[in-house]
Amino acid sequence: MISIRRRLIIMLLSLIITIGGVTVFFTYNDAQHEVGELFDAQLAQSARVLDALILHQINKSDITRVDLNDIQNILNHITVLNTPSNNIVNENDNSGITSYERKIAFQIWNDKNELILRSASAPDIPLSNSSLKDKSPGYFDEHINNKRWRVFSLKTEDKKYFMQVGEQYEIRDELATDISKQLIRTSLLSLPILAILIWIAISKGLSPLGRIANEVTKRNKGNFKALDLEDIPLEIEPLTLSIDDLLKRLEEAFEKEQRFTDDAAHELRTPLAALKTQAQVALASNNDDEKERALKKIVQGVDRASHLVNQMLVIARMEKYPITNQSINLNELTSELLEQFKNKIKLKGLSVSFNAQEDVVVQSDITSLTILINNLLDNAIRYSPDKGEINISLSSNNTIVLSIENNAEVIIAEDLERVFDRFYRVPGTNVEGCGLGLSISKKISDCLGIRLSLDNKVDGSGIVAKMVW
Amino acid sequence: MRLLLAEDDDLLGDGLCVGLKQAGYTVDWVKDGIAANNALKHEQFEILVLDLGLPRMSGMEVLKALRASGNMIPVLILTALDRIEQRVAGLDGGADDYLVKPFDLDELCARLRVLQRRTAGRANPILIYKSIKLDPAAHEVTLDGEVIELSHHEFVILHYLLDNIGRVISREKLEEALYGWDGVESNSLEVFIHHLRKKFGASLIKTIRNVGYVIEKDSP
Repeated sequence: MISIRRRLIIMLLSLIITIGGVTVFFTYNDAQHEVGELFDAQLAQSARVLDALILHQINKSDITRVDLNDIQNILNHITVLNTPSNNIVNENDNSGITSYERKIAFQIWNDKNELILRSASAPDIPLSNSSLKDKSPGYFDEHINNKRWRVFSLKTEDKKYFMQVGEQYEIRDELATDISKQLIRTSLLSLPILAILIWIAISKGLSPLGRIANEVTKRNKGNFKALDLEDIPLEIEPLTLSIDDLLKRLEEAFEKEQRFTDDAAHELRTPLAALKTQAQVALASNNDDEKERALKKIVQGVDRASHLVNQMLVIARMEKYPITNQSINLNELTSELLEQFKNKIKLKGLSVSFNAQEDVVVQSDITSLTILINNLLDNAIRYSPDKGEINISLSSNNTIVLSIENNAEVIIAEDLERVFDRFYRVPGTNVEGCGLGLSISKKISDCLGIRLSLDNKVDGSGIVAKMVW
Repeated sequence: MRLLLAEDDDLLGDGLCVGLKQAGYTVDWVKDGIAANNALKHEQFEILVLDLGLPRMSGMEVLKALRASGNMIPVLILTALDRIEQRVAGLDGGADDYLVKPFDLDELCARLRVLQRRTAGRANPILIYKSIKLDPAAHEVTLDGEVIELSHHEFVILHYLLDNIGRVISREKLEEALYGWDGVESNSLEVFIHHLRKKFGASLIKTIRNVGYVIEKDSP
């Protein structure tokens, strides 16, 4: 599993390390540059001091080794005043750090390019050949014996001599490296502290997720109330909203399921209760008429239970058998099925009309379609009042429509929504039935791609069932 | 004992009507919630057997309205819904007992008797008055230990008067208890009272002229 915490920490630390690396690189470069400028200035200063200190002595040619050492010492400790970098070097000196002690070398050449004086640290070849040749003053970078040197050349004030003052780059590099090292050391030390702080910050940031998980986990079965959490951050809100939305849909599904089991319990248990009660009445009765009446009621009850079982079997089979596809003449099928209800129609004194365009043919499954139309006709007749009218119409314009109307009592909207639910019966229905017919019809029509609807007639004079292909 | 049955299923309602009459109840049967509500508002019943899935007005609504009006008649709920929360809701809604379909008729009758007993405030199911013992479950009355044969109507009257001992019961109430909505046969009440007096002695049931009848409290 991905851990946001781990991922964030790795990302943030890598970022910090990268930025730190880049910073060290630039700091090193900057330090080198600044140190260079400072040292260059000191080099120039050294040259001028040298000029002032010793030139007149060269003329007198009475320089001793001791003098040379003293001069060397003075040169080594020259610092440039009044530059910002100067302070740092001074501070370093004050704190007793002597690792940056400088080793300034110098050479003095006459106009015949003969070396007349050099410090002990200076080589006997020119510090800078090129500058010596054309007697050009200024700064030069040179390689002597595989060492890099910084050289400052200068003509003496009396123009008789050419002076070269130099020092090895080593010391500059060392100083710049030390500054950078210091920086790296501080950064590395702060990394673990940073990691801990980031860890704490992330934990704090992720805590709403924990609270949500907790809130959802501790819920009892059947608790679908929206999450009630305070101080939810903006970024987490879409999550809680989605969870709330999911909970709402879950609740709807749960309620639907519960309604189904309630309806099923009612439709399955009531006939059994009736059978048992009637049977017990028959058993307990001393009166023959009463006994016979109860037994007849039992037969009636068994018929009702059989109808229920048949409908349930239809559903079970529907789920099992494949759907075939063949041409079906709807005019013929409807007429044939209507014929089967002849007796019931006569018994209730219904007047039935069938208006149809000729030869309306659909591609469908004959078995399923027969059950569907049969169910709808049966319902129309069953729920029609005595002496009512049933109008069947079949049309085939843009779409094929088979509609069946009767004069049954209108159904309120709330019940209309549920008429296709299994085992649902409109309350107060006193017609025999088990609440499965319409749900079977709906299921078949869904399988066959027919839109089935049941509505009150617009003028409120009855109910219309419509199949639309 | 007058009982109101509220059940929308024809076959079950019919069976219950006959079965409860066999058990000695005077049964009035309504098939929807509004009819039940009206009957309870305007007439006196000793017990109510209530289906929850009633059309027009649900059983729970009938029960709520009943209790809200302060009517403390014992109520037994008869329903196909057996989830615990539904039972709890029924009992919390003011029902005294809850029976799930399909049920046993004998169990229903036994539970109804418990409810009656509880309402009358007696733990002993048998009504005792002097040397008369009336057993509602067995539908049997004894005098000095000997079984006295009583017709259904005589039993109902004696039961009603013993249940309300010391209280004067009006003719109308006794007739309601006897016949429910089935209609009254004139003068028959006097005939049953006469029979009872013949069997248990003339002094048992006193006539309060123009008011009704009473069995007076046993003076020590």
